[in-house]
Amino acid sequence: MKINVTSIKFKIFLYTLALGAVLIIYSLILYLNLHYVLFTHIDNSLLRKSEEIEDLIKSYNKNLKNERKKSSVYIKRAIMLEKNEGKNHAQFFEIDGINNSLHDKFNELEFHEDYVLVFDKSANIAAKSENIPEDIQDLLKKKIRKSYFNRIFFRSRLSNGQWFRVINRPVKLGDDYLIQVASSLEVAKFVLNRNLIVMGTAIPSILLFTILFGRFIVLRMVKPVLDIARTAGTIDSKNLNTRINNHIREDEINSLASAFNTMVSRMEESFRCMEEYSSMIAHELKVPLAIIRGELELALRKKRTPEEYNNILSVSLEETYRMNKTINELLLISELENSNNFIYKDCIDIEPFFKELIASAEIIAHEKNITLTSKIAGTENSVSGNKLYLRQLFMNLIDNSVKFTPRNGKIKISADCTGDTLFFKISDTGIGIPKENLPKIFDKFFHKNHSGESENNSAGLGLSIVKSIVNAYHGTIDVKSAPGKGSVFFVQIPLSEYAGRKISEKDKKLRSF
Amino acid sequence: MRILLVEDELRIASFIERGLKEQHYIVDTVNNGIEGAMLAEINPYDMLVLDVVLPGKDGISVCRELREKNINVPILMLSGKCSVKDKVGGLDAGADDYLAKPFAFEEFLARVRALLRKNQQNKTGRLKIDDLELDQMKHKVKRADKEIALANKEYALLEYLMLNADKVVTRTMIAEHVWNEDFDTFSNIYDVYIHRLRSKIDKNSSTKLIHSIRGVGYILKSGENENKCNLN
Repeated sequence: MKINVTSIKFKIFLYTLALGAVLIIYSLILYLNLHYVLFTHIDNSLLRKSEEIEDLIKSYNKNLKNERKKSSVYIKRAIMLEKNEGKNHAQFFEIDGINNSLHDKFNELEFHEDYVLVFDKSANIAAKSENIPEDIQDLLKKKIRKSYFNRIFFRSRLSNGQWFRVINRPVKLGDDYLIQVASSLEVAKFVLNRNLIVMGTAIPSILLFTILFGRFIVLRMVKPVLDIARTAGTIDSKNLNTRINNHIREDEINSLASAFNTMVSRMEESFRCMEEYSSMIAHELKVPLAIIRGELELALRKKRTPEEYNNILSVSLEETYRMNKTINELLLISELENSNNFIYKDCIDIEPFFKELIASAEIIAHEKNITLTSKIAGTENSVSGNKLYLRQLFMNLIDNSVKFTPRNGKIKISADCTGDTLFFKISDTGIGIPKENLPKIFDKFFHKNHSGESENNSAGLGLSIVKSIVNAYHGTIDVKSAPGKGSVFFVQIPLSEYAGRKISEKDKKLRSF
Repeated sequence: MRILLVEDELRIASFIERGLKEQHYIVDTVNNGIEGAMLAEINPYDMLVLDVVLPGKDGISVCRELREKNINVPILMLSGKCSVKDKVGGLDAGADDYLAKPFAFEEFLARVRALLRKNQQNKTGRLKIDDLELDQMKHKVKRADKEIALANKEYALLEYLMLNADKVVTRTMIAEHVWNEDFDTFSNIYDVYIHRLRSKIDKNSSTKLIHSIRGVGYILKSGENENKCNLN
């Protein structure tokens, strides 16, 4: 099996290893602590016992002050008391009382599992407890060194497969003596071994369980993620209606699936919009193309008069202008939608700007004998803006009004630039807009088909461009209309004079790089 | 052959109309769906050319409406939309054919011819009665292997008479299929054209093919066997 070191499964495996290491260290500390506690306990008890033996011997010795020189003999005797009992009893009769008390004391010490040995200066056994087996006696006797007579220390010794803890205690009593008390380590060893076995089986079991359970949990956790990934992998523009089944569980993965589904829904919607949009663009561009192609093919079917050729060529040429216009309008819209870097690039003097605008408006209004009146306030001001965009914005509105106003109608324009907002209002006596169409008039390609107008040549992008420009300036546009009576468009564009200029300079700097 | 063209793009309508007229078809043109539906209902057109995107009423609705009213005129649908979905939508609404814009004009004419042949028994595109032959594709007329030059209207009238050979064709029928909306039905123009046709077709031949039926109209029939309808 190939191991992917970045996969979640592998990470869980690493966590399990770390857990294992922690468990082992923890168990080791427990074991060592237990070992220390047990051995300290045994050592303390050995120390206490050896002390008591020393005290015993010393106090026994004290009672024999008058025979100090023979003290060693008495010690030997004192310790070997029990063993020698009966044999030479008569010789010690004078200290019977003391003998008895010593005996009692030895009994009180309860050397059940402990073995006592007393060595003299030349490492011979001076005295020993009677329960001591031969092998232990030999073992302890074997390795007595000079240095043993100087300090108290503990050793662990092995005899016949049995461990013993031995205390070495030198006693100064005229001569040097050495007390050794050995205690069995069987219980301690048993506890420690038992502990080791428990740990040895528990740790692997815990690790095994952790790995298996962790794997199970991870697989359960990862499976829906993999499902989502698989579904996501199959989604393309053709099956955007695919959704992840997320009704099974209520957890974090479920919210991921929901978020994913919502995202796909949004994508589907925007794909649908784009499809619709591009089909509309295609339609708009195909119409002039169809005209050019049709005219040319028809022309080539037979010989024509120069006038006919002339007509065909001028129609075709006009259609190429129309295509070009549509394409430019589409590019302008996409430029306005995608960046507004240039919306404050010019300094616009209100008076000449509107003068020029009204002059153009009068030309197109004149063709339909429409009366155009205008009122401009704040003409001495200058504002920052994009001359081209703003001109296009107002011209499109004027065009629109002229287009839908019958001959001999009236159009009123008023603009106010005195404050920090530019107000523009245009009202006409045109055909008006039906109420149900009002929300749609700013849509791209909202068509003459809906307005009933059939003589114009535009792609239905004029008001959509107006909306895009107003949006670029964070302005607002409102329309009121009564079918048969006319329409009024209100435009508000925030154009702070000073802020605008600052932005304009910043803009220029930016663009000079 | 009279065709109704419903197309809102004036320039597209213009070249289609001119192209069809060059082919001796009689064309009525309107630029919105409501008017189109109305005309198609009133006049017995031989065929409809219908745009899909129309002001007033879209082509699909017009088509469906006509079919619901049992008007079975062949319909050729034109559209800028060329996806399978759009084509299926158009055909399912009752159109006989669907052509995406921009189209090759040759193809458009061929499809028009095909749809006009739809209800004819003879699908060769060549009509023949006795020694009179008419080629619907080349717009050539021959009598006894001699080519006869005909003006637009004369050709249209002869084609109509030949398609309805051995049947009485009334003035109203001629007015409806050979002249378009703009024309006054009660004028004596039909007699003038019939006279011109006779002089070109029957004058140099012993067998007369075009006969007048007083007070009713005209009939074009084979001279050898009056009851035989020889279309091939």
